[in-house]
Amino acid sequence: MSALGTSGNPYDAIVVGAGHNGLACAAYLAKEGRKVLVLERRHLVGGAAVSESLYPGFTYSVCSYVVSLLRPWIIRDLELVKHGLKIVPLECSYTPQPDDAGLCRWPDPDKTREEIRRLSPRDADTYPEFGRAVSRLSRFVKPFIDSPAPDPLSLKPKDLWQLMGMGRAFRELGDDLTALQFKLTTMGGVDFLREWFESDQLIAPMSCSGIIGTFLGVNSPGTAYVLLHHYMGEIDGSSRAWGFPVGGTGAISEAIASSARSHGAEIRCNAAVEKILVKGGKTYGVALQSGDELHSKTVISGCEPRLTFNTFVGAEHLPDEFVTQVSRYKARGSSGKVNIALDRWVDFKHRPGDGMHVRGDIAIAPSTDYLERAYDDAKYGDFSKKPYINLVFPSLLDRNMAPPGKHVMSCFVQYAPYDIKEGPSHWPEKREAFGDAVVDTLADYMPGLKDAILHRQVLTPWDLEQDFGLTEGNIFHGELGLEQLLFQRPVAGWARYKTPVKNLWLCGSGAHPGGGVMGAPGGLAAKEMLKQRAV
Amino acid sequence: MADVIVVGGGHNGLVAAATLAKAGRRVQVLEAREDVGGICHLLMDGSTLSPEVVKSLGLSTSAELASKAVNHEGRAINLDASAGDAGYTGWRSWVDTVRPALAAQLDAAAPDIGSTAPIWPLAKAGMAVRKLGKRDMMELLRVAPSCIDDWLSEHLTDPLLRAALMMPALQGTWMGPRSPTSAAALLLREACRAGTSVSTGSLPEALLAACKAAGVEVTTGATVKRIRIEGGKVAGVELADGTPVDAPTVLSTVGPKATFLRLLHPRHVPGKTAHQMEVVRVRGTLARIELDAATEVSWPGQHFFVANEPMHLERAFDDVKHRRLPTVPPPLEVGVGLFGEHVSVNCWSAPYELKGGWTDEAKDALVASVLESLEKAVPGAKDAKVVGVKTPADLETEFGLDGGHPNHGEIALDQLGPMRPSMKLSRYGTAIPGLWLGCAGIHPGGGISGRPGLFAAQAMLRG
Repeated sequence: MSALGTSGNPYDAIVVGAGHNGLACAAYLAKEGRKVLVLERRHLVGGAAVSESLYPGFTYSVCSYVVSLLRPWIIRDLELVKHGLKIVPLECSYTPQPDDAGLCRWPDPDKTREEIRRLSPRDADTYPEFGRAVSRLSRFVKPFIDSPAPDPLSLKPKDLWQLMGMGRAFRELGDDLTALQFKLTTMGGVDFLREWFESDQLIAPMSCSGIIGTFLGVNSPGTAYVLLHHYMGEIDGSSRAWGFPVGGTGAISEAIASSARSHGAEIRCNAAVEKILVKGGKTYGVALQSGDELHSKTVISGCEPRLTFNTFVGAEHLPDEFVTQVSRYKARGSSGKVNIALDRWVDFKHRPGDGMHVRGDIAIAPSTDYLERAYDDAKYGDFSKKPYINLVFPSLLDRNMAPPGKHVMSCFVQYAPYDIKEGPSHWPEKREAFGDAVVDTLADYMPGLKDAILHRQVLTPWDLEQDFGLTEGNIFHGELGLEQLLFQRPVAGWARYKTPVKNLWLCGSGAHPGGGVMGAPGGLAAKEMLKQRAV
Repeated sequence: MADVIVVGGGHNGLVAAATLAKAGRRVQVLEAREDVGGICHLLMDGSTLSPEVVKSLGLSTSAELASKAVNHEGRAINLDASAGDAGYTGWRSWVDTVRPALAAQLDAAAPDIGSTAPIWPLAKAGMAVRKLGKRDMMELLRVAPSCIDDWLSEHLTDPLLRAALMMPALQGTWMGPRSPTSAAALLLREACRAGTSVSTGSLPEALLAACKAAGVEVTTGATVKRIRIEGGKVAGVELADGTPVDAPTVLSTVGPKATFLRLLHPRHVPGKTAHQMEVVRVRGTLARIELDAATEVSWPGQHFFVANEPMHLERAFDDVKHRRLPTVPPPLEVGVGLFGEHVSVNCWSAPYELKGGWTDEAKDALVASVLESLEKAVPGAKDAKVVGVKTPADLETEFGLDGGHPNHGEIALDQLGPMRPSMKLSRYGTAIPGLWLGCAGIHPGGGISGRPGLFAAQAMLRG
């Protein structure tokens, strides 16, 4: 081992988990000259942002599969483009219908309006106005995800100033947008959209963005605000909603890892952490499952909060009230993932061909009733018989994802509740039935699908927990509900990456501003630590 | 000529009328039905009536109803301090701690969140919450947006008790126990509770007496067809038979939707108001069934809930959500002798927008489900004679309630406080000189509350 870190320890910081946030945090710290070690349990970096070849010649974006909110400042600061990051925009959002052509929403607003006009001329006229209003709000919300959570209780001038600034920005919205913002943060997606649109075929796919990763239905209050995310996405500085990373989602993690390494960070795979070491209320390193102990001044966990506190730290090192709050932290998994290798292209029944309409995301969301029924199944402890599916054909966007003429399908599936009525550990027995439900559902829209499948990987919430450390299989390290955002993520009073254990910090999606491939929790945690000279 | 015409003789209209008359105004109440009191004939919970109203109108109160909950196995519990659950005392004492901060939000007028409004009232509302101290404030901010099922499960083990605490809170919402923000509905109800109760069955008479004593002229059987606007301001109303009634001021208590979308000519409705009122959600879920109590049944009490556990309520809400008849024997609220001699049954899971409409067959099917549920809790109840059935569609016609909704607007976070019924209309005045609003569709809403009527009258007296 080379020279000691600035703190006299072998490392200034040990980051637990080489997910994209852990890597981003490490890269920022390394860039500022800190000696950083990242420990990853699996054999490769990326966490849930990972590309793997599980069938010869095919690459799956195993978990996360599209990107929209990866922060531009992270791309810039960490020089991710230089380190190989390339994101291609999705060309369309296609919602097929079982009995007709369905709806395509394009980046070109005029083209989209023509599509919507078929469903409702009134909605076609409203659509651009809706986009403008919500875009305006997304510009108001954006500062929240690019800075540490405001603290409504602090009386420090700096914090008051931040609060006041937010208050001012709110009032500058004007009456109409203020009312809209109020509605967005409290209403259910369907109710909110019905104030603007009448066509259920348009409302259904739009409302889906609010349920992804939550255990809620499209009618549940509080699901509307995620609509903002669709208008917040940025790729290369332009407001395009979603993109696909060339090489799969793992390419993002690899670019960040490469950046971190270039600044001197050390990344060790196959190094599973067993415990975060605590003595006298203070951490001093980690113990690995191999039995090794590694010491450092600070430990930063990129893992899910309950995994971090309950498993790695242990309740005995935490205040009782904090333990209670962590036990109340909601992270119910509600989704699964099915990756499919296809022998050939399979047409959609009513829009054949592999044209632009399938070079984006495709939502199986034919009606709001359909989506609500999918949720009903899950509420009573079963996976949806007819689930909501969001799928992408990565091989159409990056030819290297599959051999020539063959294709990869990446299917995000909801609902698959972690807590099925038989108990979560019974998921393995239901895994293939769940996979079948997904394929059966897709076959309603793609009749030739079943015969073209070469290989199928089915990930249930149980698998997401066991294989990726996502407690209860929640893809966001905790639901993005109103009561678990901002200064309450993950626990009220502990939203600025610090924890009750001295020198232990959080940098994962369970910290502000939350999940998705944003990198913001990792980047912001590092900045906060540097600012406070904690590392 | 009257100084003020109050359109609608529901409890808020009567409270407003009496308050205005006591301040010396000549007031005429116009009520379409043959009796006054509106939803007082339907709702059983009289514990949320404003103590200020009780005091100023000299109403008589009693202790809260001794309510019970009975499940489909016939197990009954008392909903009182000894509710029989170890966690209940702790839960209740925390609710009592935060009650003052919540009650402060029911103040006369909702703070204006508009961009040009003064910031002080908003800051004041925030400060009332901050005064709780860090721990309770954080807990309140965590609990309020969450779902009622999660919240109560953290404290209470008895599923019947949890369901029974949820039922009154979920009335008037379009939510089930698993809906986020449903915890806020319970907090709101707790904030409204006064510790005493009035009998809703006799409230109409009491309010009518208070009105008469103050000199209010109350006319029943007088349907207002439209509000007359002349020269940009209120000139009075026109009755269904064409009779004009003049007055420079009109207080409408028939709901913001009805007021702007039906009682006013579209050309008089300012700018975006029409759309804002169109999108106010009023999906009623209440059906009322009256039974003849003459049958030999031993009822568990004067007021009781029939439910099993929270997911029973959730399944009932699923039926509402999918606009269908009950697929499970529905949860019920039962009053024995609260309204005359009858046994009154409120079923809060009958969707206004029922698929196929409220036909006679649908009505019969609903009644059968209700009786099945009641029978499971109270053996013998199914033999009681059904003497009256009101679906949400009937409530709309008979009581003039949009969507058959007794609150003139669903209880939902985006339809409360400064947003009830819209940002510019939550403080009782309107953009039309002389036109005021004052019913449960305006801040602070509520069931039998009287606050909107009282606050509207107070705002009018201030000018």
